Amino acid sequence: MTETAKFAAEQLIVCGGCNAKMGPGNLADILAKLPANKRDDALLVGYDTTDDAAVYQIDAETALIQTLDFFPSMVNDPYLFGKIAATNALSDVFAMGGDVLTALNIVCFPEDMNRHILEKILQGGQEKVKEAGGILAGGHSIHDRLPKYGLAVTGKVAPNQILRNDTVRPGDALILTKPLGVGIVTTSYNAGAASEAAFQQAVDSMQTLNKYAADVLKQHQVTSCTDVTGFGLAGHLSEMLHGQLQATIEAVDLPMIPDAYTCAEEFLVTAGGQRNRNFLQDKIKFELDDYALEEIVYDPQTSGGLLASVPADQVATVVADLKQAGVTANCIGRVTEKAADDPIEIIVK
Amino acid sequence: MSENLAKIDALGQACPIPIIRTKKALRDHNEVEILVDTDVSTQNLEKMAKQLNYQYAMKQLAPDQFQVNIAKAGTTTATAPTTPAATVTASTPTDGDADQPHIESSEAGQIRLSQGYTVVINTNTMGQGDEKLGQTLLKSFVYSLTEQDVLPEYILFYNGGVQLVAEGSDSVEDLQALAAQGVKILSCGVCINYFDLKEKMAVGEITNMFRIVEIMRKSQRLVRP
Repeated sequence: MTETAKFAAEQLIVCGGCNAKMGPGNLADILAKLPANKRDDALLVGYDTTDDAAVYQIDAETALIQTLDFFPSMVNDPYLFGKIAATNALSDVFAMGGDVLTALNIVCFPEDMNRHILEKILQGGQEKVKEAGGILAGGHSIHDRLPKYGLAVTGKVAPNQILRNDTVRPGDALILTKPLGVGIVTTSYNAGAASEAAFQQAVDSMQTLNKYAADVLKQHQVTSCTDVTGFGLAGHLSEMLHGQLQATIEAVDLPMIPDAYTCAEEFLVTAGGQRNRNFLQDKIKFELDDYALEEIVYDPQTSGGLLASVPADQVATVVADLKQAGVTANCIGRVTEKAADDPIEIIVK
Repeated sequence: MSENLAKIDALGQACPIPIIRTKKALRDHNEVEILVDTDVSTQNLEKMAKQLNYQYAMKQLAPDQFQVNIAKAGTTTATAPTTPAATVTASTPTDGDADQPHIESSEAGQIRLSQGYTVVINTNTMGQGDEKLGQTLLKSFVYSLTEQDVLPEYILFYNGGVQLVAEGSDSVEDLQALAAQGVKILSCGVCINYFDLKEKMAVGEITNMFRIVEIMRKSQRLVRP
């Protein structure tokens, strides 16, 4: 293989996961230009609110959740890739407060690649759908230059139980499950610059279903919920605040894979992280001079955790219950009112 | 231009690879001139330069071609972007510094790693004939590794070999010395469990068969005692 071809091949892996997601700015511009949808009051959550999934009400008790997610791999092990991609796709249903019903495979696979690899990807995916309580009901496969995998997932939720991402209230406390930094760790590892232990931590986190966190959150008064994926903590928190509120994040409380911080200090950062920074830097104020921490806050997460808001007086109980259930969870900050002329949505101190 | 300028062609490469190549080149050069194909890559390089107090200059040569010059403070070559663009094209060969499997010197001049050379230790003895002698030879083999001009990138342990990384092995100190110099020491997790050594591992990290195969496959050379 020539050097160029070798690098091209490596790059396919390095750019995988949610790091492959299009920048938030580009997407918003395009969506804004599309003709307006037919109005239908049964569409409870559509793309105009940048939420995790679409929710369509069927009757008084039932609404359907629809979501899909797929991407190129960020790990070399196909079985692991299948598990991570499926965990990531299923997550949106849990972030909406729903239960998984069915899932369909989305497969792009090179014509001349060993089909055993695809078998392992699909096996990993199927196992996660089963663990999530759903049924793998079919799928669609096409030939493509590099493998991509994901799921289209259908879930259900009672209309009054939907966890939207834009209903956070002033005074709420923010809870984040799963550690940050999986984007930095996986890309650094693929470039030979992160430890086996850190990579294993990232992999363990990426293949952990958000179901377990959601099951606990549903037993509490959660005002708003989303999952942290390609736009990083900064991007998804900004969507949650929808320009109306301000959040103050305590840097010391941010959970992260320790090596991610070390790698960020060594500038092992991704294009996705920089795209997030470009889009969000005018909305964030870092009150501490910590370059590596900034990179963690912007880092695109593949199959990241849930970001939920709860009334401040209940946050200790909710975090304790999450930990009791084996879920990594931290209270990371508070939400307050924002002055209309204040461009800063997120303060990190 | 001075020989202190390293030229890197990173077209087609995504972050963090252009950054890693730039950092490596800056170990031995005062200035790096790197070609990248996205604006985002130039921004990531700029962040690094800013954090390290290096001089940064960028100019766009084509819609998908950007030339970045990064110079250590005190050097006077940050004016390089005024060099006519014609001297730098996509086909300019790189100086080969960053990526060829060869000895790379660290800033401290102590690390002697070679990409692609992997040592595989799959038993606790070396050679056949006498087991006791074999164990002595293997200890000597590991010690001799520490004395080599070129260190392996990885040492892989599996089956009986994993006994060398556990407490009580005569080679732990030598392996720790190798690890301290950047050699990655990886032991097969199944084997560690089989010999019940999980609590006794004194050096290196656990890995799995997939990774072992991957490292072997990518290695330029496998060395076995």
